[in-house]
Amino acid sequence: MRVRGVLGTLAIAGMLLTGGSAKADPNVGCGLGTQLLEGKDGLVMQVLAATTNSIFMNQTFGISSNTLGCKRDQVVTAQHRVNMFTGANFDQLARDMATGRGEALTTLAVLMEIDESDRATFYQLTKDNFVALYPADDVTSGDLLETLEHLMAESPELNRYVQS
Amino acid sequence: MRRSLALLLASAVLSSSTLAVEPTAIDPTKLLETAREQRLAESRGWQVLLHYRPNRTDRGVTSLADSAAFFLAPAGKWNPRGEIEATLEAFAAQPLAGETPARCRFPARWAWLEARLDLTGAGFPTPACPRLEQWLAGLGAAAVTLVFAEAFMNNPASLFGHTLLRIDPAQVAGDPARRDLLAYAVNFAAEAGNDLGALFAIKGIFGAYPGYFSLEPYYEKVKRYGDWESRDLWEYRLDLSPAEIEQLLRHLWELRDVDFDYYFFDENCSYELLGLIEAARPSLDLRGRFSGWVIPIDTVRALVGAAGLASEVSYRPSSETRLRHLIAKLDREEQELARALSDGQLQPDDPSIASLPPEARALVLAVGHDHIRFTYDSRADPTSKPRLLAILGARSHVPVLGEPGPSVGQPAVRPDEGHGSARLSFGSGVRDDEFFLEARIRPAFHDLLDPQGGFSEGAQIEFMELALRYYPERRELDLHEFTVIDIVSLSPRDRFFQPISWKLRTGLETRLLPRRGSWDDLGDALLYRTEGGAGLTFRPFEGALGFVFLDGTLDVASHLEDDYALGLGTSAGLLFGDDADRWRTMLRARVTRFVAGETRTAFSAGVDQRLRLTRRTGFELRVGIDHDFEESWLDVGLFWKVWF
Repeated sequence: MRVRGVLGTLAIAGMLLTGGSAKADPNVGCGLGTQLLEGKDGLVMQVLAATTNSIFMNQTFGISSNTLGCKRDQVVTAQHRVNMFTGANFDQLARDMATGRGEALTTLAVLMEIDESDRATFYQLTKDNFVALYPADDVTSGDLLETLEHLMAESPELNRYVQS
Repeated sequence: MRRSLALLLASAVLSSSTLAVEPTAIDPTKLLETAREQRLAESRGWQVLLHYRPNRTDRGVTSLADSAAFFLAPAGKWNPRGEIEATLEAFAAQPLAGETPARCRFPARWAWLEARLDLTGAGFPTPACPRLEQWLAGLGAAAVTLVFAEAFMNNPASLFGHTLLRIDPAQVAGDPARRDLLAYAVNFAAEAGNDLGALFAIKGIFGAYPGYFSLEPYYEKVKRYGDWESRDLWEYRLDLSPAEIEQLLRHLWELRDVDFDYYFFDENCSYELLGLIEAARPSLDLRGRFSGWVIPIDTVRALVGAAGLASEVSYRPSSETRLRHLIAKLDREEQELARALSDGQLQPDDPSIASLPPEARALVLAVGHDHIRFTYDSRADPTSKPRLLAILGARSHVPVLGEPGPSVGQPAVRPDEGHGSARLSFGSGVRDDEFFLEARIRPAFHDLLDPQGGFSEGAQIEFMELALRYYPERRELDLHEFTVIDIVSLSPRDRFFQPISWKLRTGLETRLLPRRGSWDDLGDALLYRTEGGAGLTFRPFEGALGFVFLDGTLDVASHLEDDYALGLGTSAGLLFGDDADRWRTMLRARVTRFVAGETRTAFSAGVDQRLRLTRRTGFELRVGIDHDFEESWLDVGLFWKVWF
C-alpha cells in the first residue's frame, strides 16, 4: 500500500521501533497525538499562555497542544498544516464527519486541496466509514489521518489526492 | 608555472577591485534635513506608528509603548523627532553580520519613510528580510476582519466583550468555502499569569500587567470564545486595500514582544487594536473620540461609523447558542429522549430513538452529543468519550446530511446597533410625601430594563451611576445614589441547562435612617451598601424571566447601631417585555432580616415600567414601597431617559 510522505515513513519506523506503544510513537508530534475531548482544561492554560511574548513567531503556524515536531522557523509543509488543524479541531471533525457536513470538515478538504467537485464524495466517504475512522475512544488524530489516507487511496475518485 | 602566476595576478587584481567597491556608509544628513523641513516627526503617520499620545499636562507627547527595544533613540518614548532621526540613521547604516538589520525590525517605518523620502533612491541599503517575508507569505493575507466577542459574565475582564482582528487568507477563485478556520487572530491582552478574581481586576485596572500583541490560528479563538465561554462572535469585514493590509502586518511585526501596559478601562484590547488599524490608514482618527474609558463595542461603532470602513458583517453563534437552537427544534418527547441519551440512561441504538424518522433521529442524536460536550467540564465523566463516539457512530448511519431545518438566524439587532453605552435620566416624583427632582447619569453600560436589542438577555452591567435628588420643600440637594458597580446575571434553567444566577452591587446611597438614634425620627442620611446574591431563574412564558434569590447585605453608616447592619434575605422578581422591544416591565419584592448591628426586618416591593419613545429616548415609571424601621413609605417617580 502506498502511504503518503513523512507521515508514512514515521508510522512504519514507529511501529518497528516501539511495537506501537503510544509514548514513543513519533506520530504524536505536531498535533497528531490529540485524542477526543482532549483538555478543555489543558488547552485553557496553553491558550492563556498564548497572550504572552516571545512566542509570536512560533505561534504563526499553530499553537495547539503538541507543537512538538512541527517545523518552526522553517517552511511548514501542507501536510503539517493538515496535521495541526486536525489535532486542534479533532472533536469538531468527528462531529462533522458523522453528520456529513460542517465547517471543520470543509476546511480539512480545503487543506487537503480536494477540488470542490470532489468534496461531496469526500464527505460521503468520511460519513460512510465513520466507525472505521474512529474505532475506539482513544483514537488519535494521527490514526485518523492514516486511516483516511488508506480509504481515499481505495476510492477511484479520491485516490489522486494521496499520491506520495 | 605561467598559469599559476596568471591566477595569482588575477586574484590580486580582483581582491583590490573588491576592496575598491566595498560600500561606504550612507550619510543621512540630507534626508534628516528634509524630514525636519517636512515636519515628518510631527505628522500623523509617524505619531501613529510610534503610538504617541499628547500629554495631559504639557504640550509634549508620550508613546504608549513601554519596551525600550521599540525605540532607537535614547528618549524616543517622548521625542518623535529624535526617534525619526535615529531611525533614519539606523536605516542608513550598514547592517552588521549576525544582527537583524533595522529595516527588517521596523519594516512599517521603512515603508512610510520610503514613500516620503525615497530612501532607496538615496542609496540606503536594502538587505533582504527572509523571516519577515516568510511570515507574510505564510499568512497569505487578503483581508482583515474585526471580530467582536459578546460579553461574558463570569470573567471581570470580559464584562464588556472583547475585540480581536482576524487576518483572512485569499479565497481561491470559485471556491465558496468559508476560510475562517484558516485565518489568524491578532489579539492584544494582558499577561496576567495565573492571577484570578479580585487581584486580577485590581491589577488590570491600575496598569500592573504588561500587554502584548499575539497571533494564533483563528480556530483557537473560536474554540475558546465559542465553545468554552459560549460567546457569540460578530465579524466585521474591514475595507482596507492590499497596501494598507501589508502596512498593518508590517507594523504588527514591529510590535512583536513590545509591551504596552494594560489598563482595563482605557488602554485595553480594543484601544490597542484601533492603533493597528490607524497604522494601516493614518488618516483615520479612530481613537481620538475616546477620552476616558474605552468600551469595546464603542470601538466597533467607531469603525462602522468611520466612512463605511466595515462592510459585511457575519454572525458566528457559540456552541451554546447552536445547541439551544437545535433543542428548540425538538418536541417535548424528543427533548426527553435527548436528555436521557446525554445522561447515559439511553443508548443511541435504543428502539425509542432508532424508530424515529431520520430527521428527528438526527436531531436527537445531535442534541445528545452536543449536550455531553457542553457539560463535559463540570462532570468530567470517564464514560463521556465512549458515549460520544457511540452517538456519533449512530449518527453516521442516519442518511441525513448536515443539521435538518434552518440554521441559527442572525439576531435582528447587532451589538453595534444597540443603545448607546451612556445614559442620562431626568425626572421628578414623590418620596414619603415629599416632592423631588432627580437627575441621573450612567457612563456604562446596560440594565435589565434598557432596550434589549444587541445585548445578552438577563445581563445587567452598571458602572459608576450617579443620581442626584433635589427636595424643593426643604431646599436640600442629596447624593441620592452613587453605584460603583451593579451586576446581575439571570440565566434561565430548563431541562438541559441549570446555571446559577447571581448578582453583586456596591455603592453609596441616601436613605431614611434613624438620625438621632430613634426610629421615630427618620431622616435622609448616607449609607454604603454592598449586597450580593445567588439564585435561580426560570422562563415562565416567552420573553420573560422569573427569578428568586438568596441575598446578603452589608450596610455601613454612622447612623446605624454600631455603624453597620448585616442582613440575610430573599428577593424575587418577574421581568418581561414585548417582542418589538418597545416596553419592559419589572415586578420585584424583597425582604431582609438584619441580624447584626442595627437589627430589624425590612421589606421593599415595586414595579418599574419603561417605554421606548425613539431610538435614543424613553420614559420610565417607577413605583416602590419601602418598609424599614417600622415605617412605610412610597417612592414614585416619572423619568425621561436618553442613551448616547
